[in-house]
Amino acid sequence: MNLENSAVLAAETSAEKRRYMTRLTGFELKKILQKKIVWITFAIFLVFQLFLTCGAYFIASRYVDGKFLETKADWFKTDRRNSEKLSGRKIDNTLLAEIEESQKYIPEKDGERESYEYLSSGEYNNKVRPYEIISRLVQSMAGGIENEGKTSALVQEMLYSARHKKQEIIYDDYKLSKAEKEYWREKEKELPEVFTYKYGGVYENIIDMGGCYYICMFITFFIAICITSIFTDEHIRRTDQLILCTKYGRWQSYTAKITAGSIVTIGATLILSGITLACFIGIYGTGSFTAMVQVVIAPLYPGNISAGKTAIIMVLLLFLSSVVLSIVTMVLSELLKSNTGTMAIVIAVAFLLARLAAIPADFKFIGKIWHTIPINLLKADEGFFDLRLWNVFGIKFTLWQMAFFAYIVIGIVFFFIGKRKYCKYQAGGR
Amino acid sequence: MKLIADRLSKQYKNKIAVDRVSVEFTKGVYGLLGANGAGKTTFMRMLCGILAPTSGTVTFDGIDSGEEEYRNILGYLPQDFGYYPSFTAWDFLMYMSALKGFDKRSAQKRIKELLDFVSLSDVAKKKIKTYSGGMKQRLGIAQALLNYPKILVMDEPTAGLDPKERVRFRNVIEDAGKESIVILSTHIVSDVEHIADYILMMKDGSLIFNAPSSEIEGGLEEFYLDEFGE
Repeated sequence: MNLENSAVLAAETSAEKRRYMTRLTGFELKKILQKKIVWITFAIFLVFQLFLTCGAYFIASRYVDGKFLETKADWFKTDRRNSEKLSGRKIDNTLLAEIEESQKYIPEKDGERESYEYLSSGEYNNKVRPYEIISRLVQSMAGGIENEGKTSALVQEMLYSARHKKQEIIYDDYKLSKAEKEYWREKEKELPEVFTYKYGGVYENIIDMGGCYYICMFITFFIAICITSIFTDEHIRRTDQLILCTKYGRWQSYTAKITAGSIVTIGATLILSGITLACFIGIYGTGSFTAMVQVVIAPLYPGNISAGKTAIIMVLLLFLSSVVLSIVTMVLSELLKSNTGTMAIVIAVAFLLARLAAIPADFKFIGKIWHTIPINLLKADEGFFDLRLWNVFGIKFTLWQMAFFAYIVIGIVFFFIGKRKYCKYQAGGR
Repeated sequence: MKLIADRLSKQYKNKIAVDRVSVEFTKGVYGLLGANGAGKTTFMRMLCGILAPTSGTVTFDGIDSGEEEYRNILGYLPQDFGYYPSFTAWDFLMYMSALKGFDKRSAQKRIKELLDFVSLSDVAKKKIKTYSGGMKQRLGIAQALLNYPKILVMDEPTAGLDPKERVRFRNVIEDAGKESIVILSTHIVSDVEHIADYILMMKDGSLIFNAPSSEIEGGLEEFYLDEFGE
């Protein structure tokens, strides 16, 4: 054996080091992807996500008074067709008059409104139903302020003035400071005086619960189950002592493991998001990218942002939070030297976040942090459209704007904590 | 080529595992003998830089054991360790070669040599979970030799090897000792009797004997029993 052959001792260039890193990452990926639990867990979550996304569309039907009314697919198609017909219309006196006209066909008694005879009648389907979506939107904007939620006799001025009044009530509910109220009032001024309705299609669903929120939930569980063992497996198998005494066994090996865990997380998020997106496009169509979020999902939100942009921001936040969560989880497992302990912590926190009621508005600081946590932030109504602001050196940031910085900082901090812990690991006491 | 362990100690709460051990290693084969719990494994782990000493230092030609340069010339076979069950021997050695800084082509060449040497060429593409204990041990030996180590530390390397493999293994170690520092720990005296140039003996964390094997009169086994009073 030629022991003098020390080609490996030659100084490597940085390009060569990158090649080694890529190879190491490849092996770490192989270790993860060779585990059956990874594929089984992912397959289960994929089925769940598919079911949540389009299960109702293909399986469910609508029954009224015990009689079959229509399939959910037909229901969605009709709503989509009606929304697309209204798309591009200004929500002004003309449209409000049309809505009022359509409402003349609605029976006075509550019971009749929900009866099979009414819902299957031509009057409902031809006169009332085409305006139902816009009618609901108008009620969300003015309901409880003008006409006690009825759209009849509403005129444009009343509608938008009612919307402003409702906004002020929400500002007080959130216990916004004067400066925060002023910030949102200024933002509100950027919005047109009369809104134009556009069909939100896929964007509405990405923003709503079925999109980013459920994917975030599933990815959190996926990380807890599949990613926590990347480091701990080495300790359990005692392969750590082999790795740690090799040339690239310290921080390069650590970086390769973190990179591999992040790649698997990104891959899982990408596949779940891609399939969800394809399903949404198939069912709801693309809709209008430039539709205002106010006419799509958040009628009272004062910010000037389109549904398309909101959807993209939420998807970016979903990917960023997934990567950061995977880093935090991997580092936690290395700190605790236990994948089951880490799994328990991550799953328990995820359940707590999903089930616990919102933090009372009096605890503003904790509430802001609570709603900046990914699972909460990606709930559109509770997190993303939260009106409380972070004030950093006089600059105001919304929760989602702050989340980008916070997630990146947390990811970096945890990465270096983990690096320190891993590189200083002692293979003793066995 | 000089590996120096200088007043190396390791203390766990109220137990001293290694107590101020100082040794200078030069080229050759060192047989580290001692009963179970004598501190051999702890001492070897400190030599490999994977266990920080409570006090003392380990250096190779002035390079500290914590440095990347030191790990680059180190080969280590731990006493007890696992493998990646779904990896093949080839995958495992390729992974280890990446960790040891081999480029792909050199790694493939070297791995072929080593698989032939440890007689695992025929099963190189089979998953490690199908291997017997002896085959796994041979794979461990192969990974330790992968980077042409100048310091080769092997903790109970002959465990699980059959008599024929033991003989072949001894020949390899003898060869390696001509160019490198080879330190093997064992409690089987016959494993080191014929190949060790130097004999080290540890008892209760202390080095109680360190001398060339040529200085030992009579058989090593008798000497060992005399030293340990057994």
